[in-house]
Amino acid sequence: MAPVTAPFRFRHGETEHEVLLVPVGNDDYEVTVLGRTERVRVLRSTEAGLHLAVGGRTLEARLAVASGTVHVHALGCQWELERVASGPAVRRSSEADPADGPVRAVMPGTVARVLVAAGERVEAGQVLVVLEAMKMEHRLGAPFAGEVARVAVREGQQVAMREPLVEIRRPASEGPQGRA
Amino acid sequence: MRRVLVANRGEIAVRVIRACHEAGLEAVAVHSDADAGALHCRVADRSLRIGEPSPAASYLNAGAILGAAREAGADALHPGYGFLSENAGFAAAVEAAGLTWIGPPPEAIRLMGSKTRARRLAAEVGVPLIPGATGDDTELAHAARRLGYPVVVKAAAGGGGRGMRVVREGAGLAEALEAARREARGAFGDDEVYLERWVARPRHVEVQVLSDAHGGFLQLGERECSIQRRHQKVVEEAPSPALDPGLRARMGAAALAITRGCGYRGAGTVEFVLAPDGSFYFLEVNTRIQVEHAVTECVTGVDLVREQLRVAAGEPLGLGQGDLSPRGHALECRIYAEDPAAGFLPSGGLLAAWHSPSGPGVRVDAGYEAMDTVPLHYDALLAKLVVHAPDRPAALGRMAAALADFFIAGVRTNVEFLRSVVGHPAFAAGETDTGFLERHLDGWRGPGGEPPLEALAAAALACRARPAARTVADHSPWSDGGGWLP
Repeated sequence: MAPVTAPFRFRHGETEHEVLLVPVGNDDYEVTVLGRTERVRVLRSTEAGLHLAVGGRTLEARLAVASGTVHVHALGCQWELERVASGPAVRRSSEADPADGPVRAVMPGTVARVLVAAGERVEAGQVLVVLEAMKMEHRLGAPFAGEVARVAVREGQQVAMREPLVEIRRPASEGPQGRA
Repeated sequence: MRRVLVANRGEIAVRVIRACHEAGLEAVAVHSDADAGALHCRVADRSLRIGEPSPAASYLNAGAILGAAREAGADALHPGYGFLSENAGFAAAVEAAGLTWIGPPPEAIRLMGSKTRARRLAAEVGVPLIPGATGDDTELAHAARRLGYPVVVKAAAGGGGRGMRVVREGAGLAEALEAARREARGAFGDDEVYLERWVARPRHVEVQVLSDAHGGFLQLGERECSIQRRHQKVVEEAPSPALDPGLRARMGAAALAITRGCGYRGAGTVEFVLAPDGSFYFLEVNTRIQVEHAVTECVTGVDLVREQLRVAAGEPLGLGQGDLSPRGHALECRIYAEDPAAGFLPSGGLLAAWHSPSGPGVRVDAGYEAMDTVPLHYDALLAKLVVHAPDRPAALGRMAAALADFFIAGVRTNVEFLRSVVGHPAFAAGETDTGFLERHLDGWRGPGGEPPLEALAAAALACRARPAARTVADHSPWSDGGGWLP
């Protein structure tokens, strides 16, 4: 009986894929995806990728791994496969409602303009920050009307992808105190 | 001329340095802090720092660049494209510093840099212009009624579509004029604007010219660059699928008339708008080497950058008009670091993988290699993929195969988007105009296919071979074979 191996899991866009890899010889594996099993032989392995025989066909797969993502180029196409830890899928509670968190950078770049200050009232959609990268400007607006609780960046500052920029507080009148 | 300073970065700096070496000249690169150790520095004989990453502090910093030229003992300067290449003041400063400026005379740059003066010259030499008008707001309002809506408002000092507005009806004109003036003042320090009649379904067709100091003037045929996104060219080709020999001869003659009229010298491009009925209108002159010059090089066999060096050195051009017999069809795809599936947001970072295609008729002009970092401070162009084949269908097939072979990881690119462009039936049919991408590929969301077993197997094998926690003892040159499997 083949040894029991935990499947590899990868996320591609919204879809999660499970790959079962069972070694059956020095360079031979049985690979199962969605109930289909194929015999895969590794013909050559280099820093750039793998030369594989799958069924009766050979192919060159170019590979690169960067920050938890496997980039695969094979059969004339390219895929970004994010490695997912084995075990049952867990939903991350921190991503429950993106509209409630701070306004974050949608791309890495430079803060070109900061158009609001802490304490200022803003309307939904009002532009808060302008980011610039590669001669392209991107305007970030308020997700809802409220008050600017905190401005975390200044003009000219470099920001990373998803870095918090501005925090908006919902108007107090929506809470119970507002009625007193 | 012995040592050339290349005042640029990325693929064009690499391209110019290659031409210098081929001509037996030394090449000196310059770099900002963000580009220390970049490919253009590595292929040069020497590279000097010119400032902090922002373009204003480095590649637009005329003082620092001239200082570097002096320090390196350079006797000539090539500006590439963009940055200071069309800055007449800089060209004059380079000459005043005793260096050879590898570009047209500063006065020709100045003349063509003003759209209104350039239009006047075109009219004088009998080249058709899109009917239009200049003047104050009242005069422009009268002119708009005479021309008929829609009209286009353009900045006199503008370029690349900046400050440009289409006005559909009279009610919107005053507001468009005010906004265009404001934008032009902010972007170019000059709020002069003018009006043009709007042309439906225009093609962008340009003619490459080349001239020397001995009266030699050549036109090297056209390029069509209609595939644009927000006035940024994406795919170019030579020849244009829309031209017949008669139209080609007329456009070539018009380009030469303008070039002679402004006392041009060196390589330049005369841009035209081509209407569906075959009428063409002068747009502007680009007084520098163009990004897409390579497609002309493929079909004519002329090395344009080499000719620039020859002309700057005072030599006559290496060929005459009769020596030119364009052959076959060439296509260029611009590989940008951007994410087309996410609104074309720029993408920077470490290039974890870079494999570029090769083969007969395949040329890649790149500014990067694997393990290079793509900075976010500059233009997103990573490389130009250029193919040449006996005819257009063969060139399309060659481009499709080459794009399929390109593998870039670590930054997002538009490679898959380009495959959708060149694979589109309307592109194959030559039905290209500047509205092509908006009409056919708006809201493009990626190829959408799920990975097959082969790709998933390769990914799993890659993960198996590189355990996350590797002990120090494991990491000896004997155990680290460098491959994906132990």
